[in-house]
Amino acid sequence: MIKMIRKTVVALATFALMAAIPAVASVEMNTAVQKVVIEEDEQGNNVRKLVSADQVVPGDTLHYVISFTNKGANTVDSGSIVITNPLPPDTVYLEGTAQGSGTEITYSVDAGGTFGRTTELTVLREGERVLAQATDYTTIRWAFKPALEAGKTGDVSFSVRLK
Amino acid sequence: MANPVGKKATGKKQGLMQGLLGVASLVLPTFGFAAGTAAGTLIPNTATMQFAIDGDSKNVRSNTTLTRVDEVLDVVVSPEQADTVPIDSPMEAAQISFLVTNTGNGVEAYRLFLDLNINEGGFDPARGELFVESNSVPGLQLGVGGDTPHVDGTSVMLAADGSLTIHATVVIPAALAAYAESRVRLRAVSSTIAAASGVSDPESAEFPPPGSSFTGIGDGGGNAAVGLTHQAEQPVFFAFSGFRVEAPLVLLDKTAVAVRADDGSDAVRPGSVVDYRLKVEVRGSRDRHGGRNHVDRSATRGA
Repeated sequence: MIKMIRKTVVALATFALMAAIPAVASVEMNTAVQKVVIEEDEQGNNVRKLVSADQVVPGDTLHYVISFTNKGANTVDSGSIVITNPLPPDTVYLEGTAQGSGTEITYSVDAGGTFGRTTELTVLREGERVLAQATDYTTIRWAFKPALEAGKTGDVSFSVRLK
Repeated sequence: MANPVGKKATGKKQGLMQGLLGVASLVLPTFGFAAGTAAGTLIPNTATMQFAIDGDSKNVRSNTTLTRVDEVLDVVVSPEQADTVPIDSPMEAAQISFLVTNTGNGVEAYRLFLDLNINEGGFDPARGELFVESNSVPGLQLGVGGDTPHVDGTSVMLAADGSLTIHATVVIPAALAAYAESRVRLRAVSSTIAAASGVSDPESAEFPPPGSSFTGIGDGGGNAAVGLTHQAEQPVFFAFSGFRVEAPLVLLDKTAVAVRADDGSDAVRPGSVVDYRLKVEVRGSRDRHGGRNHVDRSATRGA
């Protein structure tokens, strides 16, 4: 009888403790970088390949992939995922390389202060406000539309040229 | 250790070449433009994410990738005189100058070689000496307060985009024919390339071509890669300049140096004796003339 009471108390205490702990972030992110090379195939066509970035010199193209996984038991709310990546220093963004299935992609030219589409961003150049070029971008943002169910993954990517 | 180099580029080497070609558009047409991000720089990247579960907002941060920039070994040597330098034969110290610029992205030691024995059909200067421009006075000055003598084959340090003017003096042999020509070459060989490959002669088949990479010995701790200024088709890590023996030119100068009149004065009148100095100077080649440079003579009397 005493043993039963003890087990019940322990179980209740465990439940109470679990209920008191706030839910931890259940989405994990990973960033990976590779170098882009163009190789010629047997037919003489140029083929884009990704190789290790352990030998990088100025002028090289670097390709970044940011992957994310819902490691928790609950579904992440649809439309709530926003990924932000300031461009790495000493690099310039290569136009049109930002990708992400199910995402809306916007850019910043003021270090993440404001974001807009490519047709909306302007910069001052020689005293005149002009449409921003890809080389003006400082930050990329992906707004992921779908819900992310438990165990599901997604990824976004972009490329830059090393100055 | 250099990566193996085959006629067909390997993936790694081809990848490296593409970066170098990207750099080339900056470097080769505009000699003296450093090649971008400094060697050894670590390029970090981190992403962040906002998300919500049942309306509860959270943030998460990714890992940070770090990419180290390798050193590109590039140097440009260019002559500072547009044409061949006119000289006499013989001549003790005929002079030419070169500009050596580190167009790579790291601090590098460059070994300087003055090559004299490279003439087929022309003449080879007898001896050469190098000087590093160091006293901020244009041109070569010798002696105390002058430019710094530099031992052939030893190195100078150059920061990325740094330049040095190198003067060379050579001894021109005697008895050269008019219009005889000679070329000399200044080589700036990266000490990293020379040490890693054991080769400093650009005409050697063993000289590592652009894209060759040496692991872990680049400035800043990364690798070191041979840059496009070393490409076989258009190498610019050495340059030529030359000398040309001037055609014989005789200059005659006649000057009255003394007048003595009959009364002992220096008045010029009939009967006065006038001493003239005649100076004959021969420039350029002297092999067929055997002339002397200076002839001093009191010759003419009478007025």
